[in-house]
Amino acid sequence: MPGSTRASASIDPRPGRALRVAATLLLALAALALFGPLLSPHAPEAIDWSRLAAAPALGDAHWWGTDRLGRDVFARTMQGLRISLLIGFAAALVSIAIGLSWGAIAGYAGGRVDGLMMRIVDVLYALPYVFLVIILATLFERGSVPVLLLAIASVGWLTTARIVRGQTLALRQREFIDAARAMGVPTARILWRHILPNVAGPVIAYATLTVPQMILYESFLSFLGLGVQEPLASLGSLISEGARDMETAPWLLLAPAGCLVVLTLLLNLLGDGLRDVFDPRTRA
Amino acid sequence: MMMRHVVTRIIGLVPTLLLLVTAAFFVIRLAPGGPFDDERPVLPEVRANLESAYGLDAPLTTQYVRYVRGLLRGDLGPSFKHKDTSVSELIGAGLPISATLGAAALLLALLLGIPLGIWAALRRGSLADRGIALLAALALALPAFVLGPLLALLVGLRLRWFPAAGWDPGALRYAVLPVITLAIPVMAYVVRLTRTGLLEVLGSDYIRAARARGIGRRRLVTGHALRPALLPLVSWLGPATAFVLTGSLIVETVFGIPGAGRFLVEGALNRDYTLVMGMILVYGTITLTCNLLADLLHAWLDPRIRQH
Amino acid sequence: MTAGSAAEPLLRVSELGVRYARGRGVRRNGAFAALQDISFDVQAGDALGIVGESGSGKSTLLRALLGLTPVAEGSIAWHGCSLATFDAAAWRALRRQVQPVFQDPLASLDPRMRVRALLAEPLHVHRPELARAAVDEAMAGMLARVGLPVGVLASYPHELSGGQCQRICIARAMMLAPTVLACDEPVSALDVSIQAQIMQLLQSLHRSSNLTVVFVSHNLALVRRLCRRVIVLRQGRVVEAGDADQVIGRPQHEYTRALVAAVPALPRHETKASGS
Repeated sequence: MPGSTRASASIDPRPGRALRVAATLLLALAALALFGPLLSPHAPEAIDWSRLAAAPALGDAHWWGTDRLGRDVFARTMQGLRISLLIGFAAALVSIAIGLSWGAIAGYAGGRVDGLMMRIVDVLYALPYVFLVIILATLFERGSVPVLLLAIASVGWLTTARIVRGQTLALRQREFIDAARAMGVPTARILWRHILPNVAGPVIAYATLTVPQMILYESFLSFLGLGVQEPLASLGSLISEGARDMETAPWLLLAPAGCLVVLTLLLNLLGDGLRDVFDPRTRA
Repeated sequence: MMMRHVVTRIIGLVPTLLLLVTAAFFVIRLAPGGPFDDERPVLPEVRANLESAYGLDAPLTTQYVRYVRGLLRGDLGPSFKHKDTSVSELIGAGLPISATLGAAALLLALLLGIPLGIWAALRRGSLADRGIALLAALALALPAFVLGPLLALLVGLRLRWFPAAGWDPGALRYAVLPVITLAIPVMAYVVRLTRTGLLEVLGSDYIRAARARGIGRRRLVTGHALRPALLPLVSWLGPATAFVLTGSLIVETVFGIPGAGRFLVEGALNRDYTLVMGMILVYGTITLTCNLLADLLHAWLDPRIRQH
Repeated sequence: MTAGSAAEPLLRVSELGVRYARGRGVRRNGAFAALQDISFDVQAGDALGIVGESGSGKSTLLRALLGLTPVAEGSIAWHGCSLATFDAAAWRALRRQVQPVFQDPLASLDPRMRVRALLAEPLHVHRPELARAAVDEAMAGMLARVGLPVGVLASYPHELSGGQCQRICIARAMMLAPTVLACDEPVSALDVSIQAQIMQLLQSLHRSSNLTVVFVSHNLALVRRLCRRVIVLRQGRVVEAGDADQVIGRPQHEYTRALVAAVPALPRHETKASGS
């Protein structure tokens, strides 16, 4: 048998393949979110008075149907997908930035500072944290995107902080950090130039898992009517709208719900795959 | 030793709860608007009367002290919006329903999830294992606000097996869809944690040694491997409670169940300060207690910790 | 030879003690004395060997000198000033003067940095005013001194051999023209043939630039080759100290004798005339 190494490599190609498939489909979905509105002849807010609550039909001008107000469901869903992706990514970025700084500082400082900072994380973990987010989201200017972003991001940073702190704690024992300290490299520079690049791998993997979480939290708030407001729509607010009319027009629910499920599923698969690649424990 | 540990941990809850109450109290008051803002225009003197009747004209710190004193007496205060009703009455009416649903969902998830996880771990790499993994991934992508309406549509409206909405304290069938909605994502976590926990333990040296001694696989799992394998699951039970409580907010909205969850959103939107505070306090106490119970259970099951 | 010099020593260690906590947090139960009652001086331009078996506290002593481990008792003085009184600026100035070389060369280089960034870092930190061209020139000159081609600048540490990595570590330590090079077992992770080359490099640096060297090792042959003076540690205490040839050639203490006996063969070295 020629190429026995190839044979052994092909025994277990699943992690890599699943990863690639998920990444490709996600890119396709993102492209759809970006350019989907261009594909549709209808603007998301345009009203077709002749076709109120029309059922979906292939070949029809409104192939995913229309809602009660005669708006095209495909155009609306694509717009919702775009908003959900946008808020999900932005909130993930913010929460990772917070978690990264928090975890790196706690892990590097060690001792009492570390104890206190991680105790705060523990306490927040144990609380019904979403409740505080709901309150934040309702109290300040309902539907304002920055408030929404911050409220959601404030949930996501806890796990990142824990992961980064664990990694930093391990890194701190390494000789190159000792060498940097002994050479007089300032603490801020050690954190920025030596710690952060070395924790980047696992953090990137975890970051991919943060995005679907953030998307779900946004949709959760939007479903409760606390998220983005009309005429803007996210997948969550479309689902909540659709749920109200599901008896007479189920496609209003099925379109955004299906989109959300596929999106979260793909992001979860991607994140799991990346974690397997980067997790030092699975790498042995 | 264990007893002292338990007592210390219970006492440790108090400052955490106080921190929560304090933070929530001031955050809510920071926000613009008040409980009597969006009512039909009221005369200034009527409004002043209302505010002084509820003690809202006092300085914020005085109100805070007054509120905490009330809490010590077990008084959550009057609702600002539900006339002549106390917060304790409102939450007391809804909470048993929410708690029953949550507990039933958690139980269902554990009863089905643990055996499924064990099965998947024992047949690692088989079609069944991969099928379960895929279903779990799918379930994790199905939040309550998607799963709830979908189940109501399919099972409730189309198949007409169970009512799609509503509540009747005596009729179990109203609880079926809400409990399933809550249980499915939790079950997916349970399956995953059980499977990876068991695989990790089965790969460890002492299990290999036991296998080499000729101990059968069934006895190996039930007698040696299962207890340590379930430890990660046990420590997840705390966060799981918070997860279920969050989900119950949605489930109660979707299925029109008169639980306590709706009071949180409703109270926050109406600036019903005492109602929101009451909800945070009650649900906070529940999650913290469940976290504590999970920790203690973990310590009790883990011989390495128990020795200390 | 020059024991009569009345000048303040470069480094004076007096009655130094270092403790490690046993257990963590609430379960902390007392401390373990890693070093006790250590006193010695290091004169400028000297080469001091610190020897002992593993666990004797020799690495801890070096870490204390580098300010990486807190001092529990006694003091370390630099030019007569105790390190305990140093503020942030004084520490910065000190760290520019005292540079480390550790045991595992690959582990002491940030895996995510190229050699160029590794060598430039001390200059960026301590001499930020230097222009890029000056930094490049300094790096090229230093690589020539440690015997590496300029081509390694673009490499990552894992692409280099252990010996090359240790040369990079030494080059990095020398970039700021320090007063003291503090080496913790700098060759024990390397092949024997490479060990000789690195020892030669350290010797030439020591002699050509009046560099003070503190050299921690379990290998008495290496210590005798490089160092004029030596202290022998056992269980955190000094058991013997003095002239290297004297201590290693005619050990007084039983423990030192055992250490000497453990070395397979002491090669006759051409660099220093032995007392016998």
